[in-house]
Amino acid sequence: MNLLRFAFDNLTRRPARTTLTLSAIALGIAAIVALTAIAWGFEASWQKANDARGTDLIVTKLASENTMPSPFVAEKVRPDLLKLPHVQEVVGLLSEMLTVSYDAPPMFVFGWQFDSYLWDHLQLIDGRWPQSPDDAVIVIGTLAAELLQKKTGDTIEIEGVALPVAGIFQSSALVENGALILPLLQVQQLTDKPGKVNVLNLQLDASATTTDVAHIKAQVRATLPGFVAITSGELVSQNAVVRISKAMSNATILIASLVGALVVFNTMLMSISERTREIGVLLALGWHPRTVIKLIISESAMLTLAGGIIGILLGILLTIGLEHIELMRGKIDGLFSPPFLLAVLGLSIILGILGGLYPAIKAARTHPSQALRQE
Amino acid sequence: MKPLSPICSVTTSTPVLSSRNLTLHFDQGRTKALNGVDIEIIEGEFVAVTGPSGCGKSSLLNLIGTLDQASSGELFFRQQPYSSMTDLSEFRREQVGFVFQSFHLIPTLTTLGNVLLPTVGRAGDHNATARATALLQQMGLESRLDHFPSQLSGGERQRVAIARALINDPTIILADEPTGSLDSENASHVLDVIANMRLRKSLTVVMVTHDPNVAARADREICMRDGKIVTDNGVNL
Amino acid sequence: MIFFRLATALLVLSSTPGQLHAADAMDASVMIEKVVNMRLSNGFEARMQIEVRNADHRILPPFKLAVIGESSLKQQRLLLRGIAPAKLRDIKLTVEATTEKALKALQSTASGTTTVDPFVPLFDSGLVPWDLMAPWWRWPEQHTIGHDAVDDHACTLIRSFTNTPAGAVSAVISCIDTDTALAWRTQLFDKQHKLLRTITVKRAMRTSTGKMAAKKLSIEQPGINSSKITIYSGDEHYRILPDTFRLPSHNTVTPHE
Ligand SMILES: Nc1ncnc2c1ncn2[C@@H]1O[C@H](COP(=O)(O)OP(=O)(O)OP(=O)(O)O)[C@@H](O)[C@H]1O
Ligand SMILES: [Mg+2]
Repeated sequence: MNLLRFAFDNLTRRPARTTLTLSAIALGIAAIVALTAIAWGFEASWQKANDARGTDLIVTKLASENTMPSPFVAEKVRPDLLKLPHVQEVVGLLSEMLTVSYDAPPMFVFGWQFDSYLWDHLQLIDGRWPQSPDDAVIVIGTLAAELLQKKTGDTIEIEGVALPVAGIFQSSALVENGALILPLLQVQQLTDKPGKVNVLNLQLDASATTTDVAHIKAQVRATLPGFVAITSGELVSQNAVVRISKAMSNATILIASLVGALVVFNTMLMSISERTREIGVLLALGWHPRTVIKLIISESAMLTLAGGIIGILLGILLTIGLEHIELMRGKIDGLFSPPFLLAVLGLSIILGILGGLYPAIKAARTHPSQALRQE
Repeated sequence: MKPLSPICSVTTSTPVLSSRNLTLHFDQGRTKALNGVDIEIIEGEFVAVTGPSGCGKSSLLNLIGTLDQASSGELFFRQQPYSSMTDLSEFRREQVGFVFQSFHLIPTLTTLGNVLLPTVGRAGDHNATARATALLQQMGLESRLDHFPSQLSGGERQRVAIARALINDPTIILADEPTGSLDSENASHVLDVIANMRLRKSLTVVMVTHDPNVAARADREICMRDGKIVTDNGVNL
Repeated sequence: MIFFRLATALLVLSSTPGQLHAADAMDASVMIEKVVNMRLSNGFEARMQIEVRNADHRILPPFKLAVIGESSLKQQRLLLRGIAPAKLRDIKLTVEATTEKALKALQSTASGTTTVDPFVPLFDSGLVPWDLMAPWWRWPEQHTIGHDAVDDHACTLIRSFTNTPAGAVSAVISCIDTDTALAWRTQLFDKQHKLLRTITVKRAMRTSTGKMAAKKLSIEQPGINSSKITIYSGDEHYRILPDTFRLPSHNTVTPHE
């Protein structure tokens, strides 16, 4: 006689109710999985972009809580940065989010210092690279090409200026695949920000240790007021969108868990109240109240575990679906790490245990003779 | 009225169950389900408890089976007071087997599953399934192992319930109107099974019944009225 | 990076406020000083996309403008420049106001430079060059008239009034956030107290200089159109050059053309 088997049979005997509860839990878990995967994926994608570029430190004017770096004149700080120990290269970058087509959502337009290491990790799959800082051409990522339906030789209008697409590239980072890249000088001209960048990328030599990195950070803070040097990971985690999406995923986890536990609580309470006599029989047959608790908790945990498994699959499908929606293309790169999915499964089981706890204790306290008198 | 069964006269005269001035009150004493019951039941005895409806038969059975707690007085199992028992569920599991009028089988479990219920959570019980199959075979239910209660006749259901009561080799069987829901043919079959098992396993049986013919199958008949025992084996008390 | 960093409020610029009525002088003057201070800038640029919906609910193709400005207590200057579509790129417009001289607007196109009426909205939108200078803060009468809330932002109502309007607008009611000095809503009225247009800040953000800046605005002109303005990029430290506000070949074309 297997307790789990018995618990399973008890669930299947009310298929409608079990299905309903299961769907509620599955939906909650799916929301958790999708939102969290998107939030993490977003962060990871940015991280990947910076890592792929080979940037060790980023110097920027991190101003307020809800904004990204404001533009500043690169030459005002570049010479000072180059003097810092271990700093090999200091490369300017200007990024903007612009509408370049009325049919497509706003896209990233990056101005990268010509001939810098930033370009090295990109893989050209068609056309050519810009030939000089003055070469007023665009190279676009594969995803951007798809979204804008542009190929080499077409023109794209950026801020009212039509520029030819010189080539199409591929990057390991989704953000870059969805972006348009020009020589820095061109973006500065297009957006009327002569000499300005909003990020300086620092590449350190191979001998730089974490203490050296910490030292550089401290130096920047001390000698360049208004500027901060941060690692790409720190920049990404301070990004407003990353923070908002993480906060949203946390809120979803909280709300969905609460709702899930309440749904299970309600279902189990209903279930035990209509099985009062049966529980009385179990007690009369010599079941320890502890065994009754185990039975009820097994039932609720099974319910949420199944809901969790369905929810995870649903959440993965949902994320993949969202990734393919036109509006979201190139902005979502869901990240499903096995530890996270395991944690979600763990969460589902915990929900079952929490939601089933009170009903289980209530069942275990059933007065057997009273319960048996019920018809 | 009836000679004592050979078993009880031969084995021992020490009571397996006894009570002293047992009472059970409900509704803050307004209902007196039991009102001073003194009883001694010898190991191996087959006792029928009779009496009008509401006289306290089921109440007495519930107290013996620890499904209820006495309001006052004391019960003894092999001279040990119930009040000194630390684990009532263990006592029920190991020493008592219940048989109810309405069978109380679990509808989601098969015959075998129902019989095995009392073995759940019983440490070190490895041959439960073998015991259950053997028991069901003895009751002529070997072809019904995988049937659900809804697929069985009333008589079959009650035999499954009896098998379930016997699975842990209890000392006492407490049967509350076991034939109450059965026709006379099935009733007599079930009583045969109880009598048969009692002899095989040296069980003490306490059986509540309305039916004088059923009571007649027992060694001893206790008649109750208003929460008291009024006659014991025909002797007025 | 959906981090449009915005330089400065769109509804920029002001100068010394006018005289205040005794009863609410303290209240209003403190507020107006805050507003004025918030609008001071050595140079900024803000790029915006404007979507206009006509009274018949037809949405016109959006266009983009850059606003470059400078504002001291004595003088405010603005340059509005078309960005997109390409045909707007030749169009520039400057607005200049000093404490002494009246507001002056010039527009240059491919065909030359003319003075223009600062009360005429730009490109059939609700955006009026005169509004951008917020000249009502220099009007003689300023009263605090109560409190209100715009989209859950509590704000103080200030009524600015003039007997000698330069254009149609003779009264303005602004709802000013007491903490940030941002005007969440500005209503412009004519002499007959008819509402001409309402400018509402839909979303604001704090810039690196600590000032509040509008990020999304709407301008409603009852019965005419409504404009949605999104500031998508900007520079709080735009470098103003000597010729930034100079339009090509002044006075070569008569206003008539
Ligand atoms: N839980 C309870 N609450 C209140 N009164 C109860 C309760 N259980 C039993 N009683 C009362 O106690 C008295 C004895 O009940 P009991 O069930 O023992 O009678 P019985 O002899 O088994 O009757 P029957 O032959 O009808 O089953 C009855 O009057 C009954 O109403
Ligand atoms: Mg009864």
